[in-house]
Amino acid sequence: MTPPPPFNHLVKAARNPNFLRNQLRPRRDQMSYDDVEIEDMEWNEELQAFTYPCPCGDLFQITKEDLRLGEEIARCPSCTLYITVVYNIEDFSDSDFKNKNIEPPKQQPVAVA
Amino acid sequence: MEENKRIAEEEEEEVWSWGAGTEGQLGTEKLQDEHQPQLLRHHLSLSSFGPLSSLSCGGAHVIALTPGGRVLTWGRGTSGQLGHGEMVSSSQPKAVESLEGYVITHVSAGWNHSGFVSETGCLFTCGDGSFGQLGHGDYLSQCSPEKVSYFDSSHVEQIACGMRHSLVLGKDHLGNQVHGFGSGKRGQLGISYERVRSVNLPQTAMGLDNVQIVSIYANGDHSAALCAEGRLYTWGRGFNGASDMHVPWSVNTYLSFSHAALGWNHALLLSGDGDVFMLGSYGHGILTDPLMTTHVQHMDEESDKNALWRIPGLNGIEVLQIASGAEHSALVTDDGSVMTWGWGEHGQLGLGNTIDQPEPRVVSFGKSLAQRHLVSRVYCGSGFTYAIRTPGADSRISVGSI
Repeated sequence: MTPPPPFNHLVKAARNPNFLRNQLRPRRDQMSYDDVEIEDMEWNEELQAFTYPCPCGDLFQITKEDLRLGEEIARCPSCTLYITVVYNIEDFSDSDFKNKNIEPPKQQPVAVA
Repeated sequence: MEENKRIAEEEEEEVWSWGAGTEGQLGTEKLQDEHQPQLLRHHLSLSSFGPLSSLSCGGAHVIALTPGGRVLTWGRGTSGQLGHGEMVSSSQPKAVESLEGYVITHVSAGWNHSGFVSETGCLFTCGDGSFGQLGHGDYLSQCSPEKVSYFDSSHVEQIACGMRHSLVLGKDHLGNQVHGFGSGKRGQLGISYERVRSVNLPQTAMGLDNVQIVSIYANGDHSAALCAEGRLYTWGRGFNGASDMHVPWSVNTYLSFSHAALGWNHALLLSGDGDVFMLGSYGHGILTDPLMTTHVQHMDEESDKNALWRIPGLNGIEVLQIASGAEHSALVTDDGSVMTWGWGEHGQLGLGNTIDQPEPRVVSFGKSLAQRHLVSRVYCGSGFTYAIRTPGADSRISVGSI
């Protein structure tokens, strides 16, 4: 996996004090299962999270708040596996949410009671 | 006499399940993972439906087919994939009542959707339709199987459901045709050299003209088809990080294959000689155990990424059947044993633990009936596994002669 350019890290660190801590946090000595673009994740109203299928049968999950804080890791509640979410933090920044109240990307579940 | 024997065999058919179970997909009614094979007769009255001719296991649901063409489903149903007319899960097998008027001959369970093919060549789909994977021309989900009208004038033979897409093998005046619909972002529909986000009506896959396709496969974002001569075509997400293939291409080998099984990052191929090969997933079986990373080979060349490799540790054992979950694999050997390998975190290998295995290991079903049964078939869902064991004439003779 190629690390993002240093500039991205600086931007993220400036916006989110947790970012550097997350980067340095010792994760299990395990690779990210996959890199998934945010547009390929589905918004789940019930979980209030963006989700993506986990190979165990459950769902990788990440909240809007996580994304706003610069978190890139979506975890599965049933597993040790996680994925890296590829997204633009600008799309989830405070001002955007308050001013435009942007809707999550397409592919929302339809007709789920 | 012959009839009595047949009935006795039907009664002795055993259905076993293990692995991830929190959605009811194991049929044990416990909603928990099982690390060892569980015999389902004690938990559910599958026997009231008679013997099962085949299973298809999806993300967290199971579709069972009886020899008479009845369909039973259980497991996660929150997208309507069980076809019971409501979006609820069920840990008990229930008949799909709206299909009772049809003799169903082929079924497929995807991540959260289902497909059913009738003897008369009709296709029905239900479940999650958010990517167009039901083929009804919309992005709606369905909780009862709906007929796919696109195929009204052709004869559908098979359906294969992946994570967010579906493939159909149909027959019309032009011969056998493969169609794709649903998400196409990774090339898994095979319908265009251009990147296709999604389509909600079937379209014909390219590059298979003048090829007689006999079987189709879909799982994750992968697609595959096997032709009558034993050549395998694959398309969709690239293996081992190779670039995605938007149209079918033939696996470059002199070998001829009789069966294939797809995972989310690998493909298993069974050769005519009973040897098993794997395409992709150099990390298979090391998802959660970093100590095993010595098995990972570093691959730079595109040709290496698309290379086939023989499954280690089988030492000439003849393999009769293969199956593939998202990140684990299973096979049946000619002596009736079930072997599993790959990711084991949810007990999906059935080896009594949650350890990953880089090589096939024999699954134990306990001593009592072992000698009297041949395992005939094994099936994998994303994180779980089923085996149907039926008495074998050969093993009976050998037991009798001891």
